[in-house]
Amino acid sequence: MSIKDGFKSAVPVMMGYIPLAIAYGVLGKAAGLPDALIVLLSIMVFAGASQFLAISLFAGGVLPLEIIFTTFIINSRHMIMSTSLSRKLEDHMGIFKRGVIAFGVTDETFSVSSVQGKDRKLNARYLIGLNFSSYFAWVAGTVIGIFFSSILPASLEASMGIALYALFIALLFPSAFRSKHIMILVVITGIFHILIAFYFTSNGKPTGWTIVISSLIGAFIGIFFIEEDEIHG
Amino acid sequence: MVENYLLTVAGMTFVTYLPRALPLVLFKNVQIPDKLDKFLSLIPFTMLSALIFPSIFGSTGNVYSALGALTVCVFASYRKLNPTLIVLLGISTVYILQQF
Repeated sequence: MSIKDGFKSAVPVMMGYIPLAIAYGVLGKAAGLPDALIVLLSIMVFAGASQFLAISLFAGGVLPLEIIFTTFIINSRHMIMSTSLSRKLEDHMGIFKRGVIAFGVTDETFSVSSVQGKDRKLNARYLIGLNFSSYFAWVAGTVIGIFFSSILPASLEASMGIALYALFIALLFPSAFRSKHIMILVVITGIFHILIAFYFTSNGKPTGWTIVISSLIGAFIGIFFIEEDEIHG
Repeated sequence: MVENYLLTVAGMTFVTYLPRALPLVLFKNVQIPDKLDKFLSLIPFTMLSALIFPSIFGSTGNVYSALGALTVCVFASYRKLNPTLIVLLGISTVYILQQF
């Protein structure tokens, strides 16, 4: 597979990232953050959920160490994705290429590469094409969002908070509708996470840890009733 | 302010990159047992589910517009619409519901 194949797989991710990154840029401006900080986060961190959260933390004057710690908790979930992805890489791929690909592992690029790698190994060219086209869409969308923030009506701005979740739904539910057992697992995990977040966090809201724990326990339960061919179907 | 946020962003970059890179770099040519392999294959589904629920309900500032968008997007996934269209449908649904 070539870089071009990676780019082709990235198109739906890019189309999802651009409105999302515009939303991020707009919200960052609305919170009064400097343009350079908003863009720098997209260039260096490249992790949507944590960047959205960082906007409110920076704007709220939260201590740097606290911002860094929260970012770590939210983004530690990528460790599970990278572990899963590591099985799909060509065995001979070098450490440097792996390190470069790792920078672009996100919920979305990971979901796409899981689908592509279900019955074959993935090479570096493909993954670099996929991950970095998505990356450029994210950074470009951020810049567009900053420029367009002044002309967007406030009511449209308020509606963009849903964008991230709409993208997650678009990635998850097609598989769930293909297999009854996957759908059951999705529902169980969702309910489980609602309960954990409600009872085990101080404000009843989910955090990085509750997301990690719920998805680990959900996947463990899934081992017992989901068949291999349902996962890849 | 500027030096301060540069250091913070550097810290955020480091703690975000590390979990992404360690497994890819360390787990080279490691054979994973079947059960663990199945467990890891299920992670994308459960992770996405945990990312969506319950955070989606607080994402718009109004639980009803979020529920409306959830319904529309899930139905759109059932009809196999492409992800971009689903994102735009989600934003439009919230936008329309917020007008009431």
